Amino acid sequence: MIQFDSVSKRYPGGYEALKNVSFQLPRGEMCFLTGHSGAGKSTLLKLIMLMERATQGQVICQGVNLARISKKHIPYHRRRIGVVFQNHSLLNDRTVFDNVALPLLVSGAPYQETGRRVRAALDKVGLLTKEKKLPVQLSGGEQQRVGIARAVVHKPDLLLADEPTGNLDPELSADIMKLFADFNAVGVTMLIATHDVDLIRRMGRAEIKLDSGRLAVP
Amino acid sequence: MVKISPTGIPVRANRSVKRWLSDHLDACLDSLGRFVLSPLQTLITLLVIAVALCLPSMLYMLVKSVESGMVNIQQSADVSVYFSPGIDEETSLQVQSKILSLESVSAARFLSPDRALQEFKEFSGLGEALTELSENPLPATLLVTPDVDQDIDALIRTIESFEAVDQVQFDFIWLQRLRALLEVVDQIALVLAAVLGTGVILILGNTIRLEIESRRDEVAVVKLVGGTNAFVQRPLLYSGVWFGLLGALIAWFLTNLFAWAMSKPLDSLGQLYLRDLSLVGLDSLELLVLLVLGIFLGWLGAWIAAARHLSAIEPG
Ligand SMILES: Nc1ncnc2c1ncn2[C@@H]1O[C@H](COP(=O)(O)OP(=O)(O)OP(=O)(O)O)[C@@H](O)[C@H]1O
Ligand SMILES: [Mg+2]
Repeated sequence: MIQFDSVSKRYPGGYEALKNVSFQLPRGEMCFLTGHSGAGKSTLLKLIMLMERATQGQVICQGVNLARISKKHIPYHRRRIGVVFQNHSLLNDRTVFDNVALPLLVSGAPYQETGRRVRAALDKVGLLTKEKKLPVQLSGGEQQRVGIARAVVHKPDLLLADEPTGNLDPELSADIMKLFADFNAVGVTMLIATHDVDLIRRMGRAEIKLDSGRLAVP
Repeated sequence: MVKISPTGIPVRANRSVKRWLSDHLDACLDSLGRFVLSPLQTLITLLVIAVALCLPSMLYMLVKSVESGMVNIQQSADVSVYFSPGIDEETSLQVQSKILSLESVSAARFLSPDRALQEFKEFSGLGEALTELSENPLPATLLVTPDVDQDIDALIRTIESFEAVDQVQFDFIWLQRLRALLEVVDQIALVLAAVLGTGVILILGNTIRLEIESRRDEVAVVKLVGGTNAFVQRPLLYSGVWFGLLGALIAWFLTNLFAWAMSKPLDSLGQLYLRDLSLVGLDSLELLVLLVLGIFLGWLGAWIAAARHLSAIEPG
């Protein structure tokens, strides 16, 4: 599903956030991306989303060499992936329903389908009753789950998450991980960046570890 | 049907016409709905646009009205051609036919000295006093009616060059001057329209830029979930179109209000100089032009702002 071949990423300032990283993530896997703060986890996910471009090596995602995707086609690439990014949270002036519907709206999905899929996604994260609420009327954990519903509403094959349990208490974190495991069980490939070492141990899943931009043995 | 990009990614499921229309209607209403969120700011922007659009349209209307008033007058503005004393009637009639053959002349009426005196008596009301005159002081006269819109100065020079002609008199030389002045005002209106039109584009560009700034996070999120530039800019373009359209409507209203307010003072001015001078408000075709212009300028301003500022916003 995802393949990195000797990928390096040097930021404009000259800082090399990823150094010669190679790995493969097979279809249907659920994998954790770990490493200290500043190790390059977010950078790696951004390369997959084409929020950044690799400076060396190649990234292949869903069979497509990302270097070949022109700027114009980036949106269509992103539509095939679900993302939970912490700093890209919800639109505060729109209801939960509208937030979750956003990926369907931008891709022009039929309206009948939109309602059905949004409710299915909200049902999965247990927020079906809150569809008319605004994000500020929800707790932090609930907001995070709305973000997850938004990431899966268009049924992507691949789901990326950057610190999805960032500032949640252990119980909520476990809930969310359980949710991710459920998605993975129906075939969604997942790559989840996290600090939460305990959690990873308990889940017993594959792990990719970064150390100062290099692949490390976990 | 799904289009596949060269890289193998499906890029766009063809939207049905109905869906396309409904997407645009959404963006259109959404952008109008946002006006309500900051009514005061919206109103100020609209007024600025309206004022910028109504200044040239008022000038245009003024020029148009005075010009149509002038056409009325010029129809009655004859050039008087006085023959030298002692010219016989035959020569005068020859000159008349020569003048009539000029392209810029529509009519030339011959008045013998006797007839001229008689008309003068009637016209001046000095009938009795004038009968006392032993000799008729008036020369034979031709009343030449130029075609409307002709260069009267040139006509006068041509007629003056005829030998039998003593003097040519045109009482409406001020009309010529007014015409020249109107041409200048017309040019000013054009330049003003260009300058203020650019102003409208800049004002709207700035308004839309602020709108983009305030929706920075939203734009980033929309792009992250696969929204295209076209998708994000659609409501912004509609926003510009609304600003332009509503601004032009207000400008139209202001222009006609101006026409109405000026109708009284112009009436008295008209009685002094131009009969039937009245400000003619914008007709429906001119209204249409104004609206289309407003919409175009609004769209262009928004488009420039979107092109300059949207692509810089990327999730990250
Ligand atoms: N846009 C950027 N320009 C320059 N340097 C950057 C940029 N983004 C990240 N970096 C640098 O790259 C390194 C890796 O950053 P990254 O965000 O990938 O780390 P991370 O593993 O996600 O850390 P954290 O766990 O704290 O989120 C950091 O040292 C950071 O300073
Ligand atoms: Mg990070």
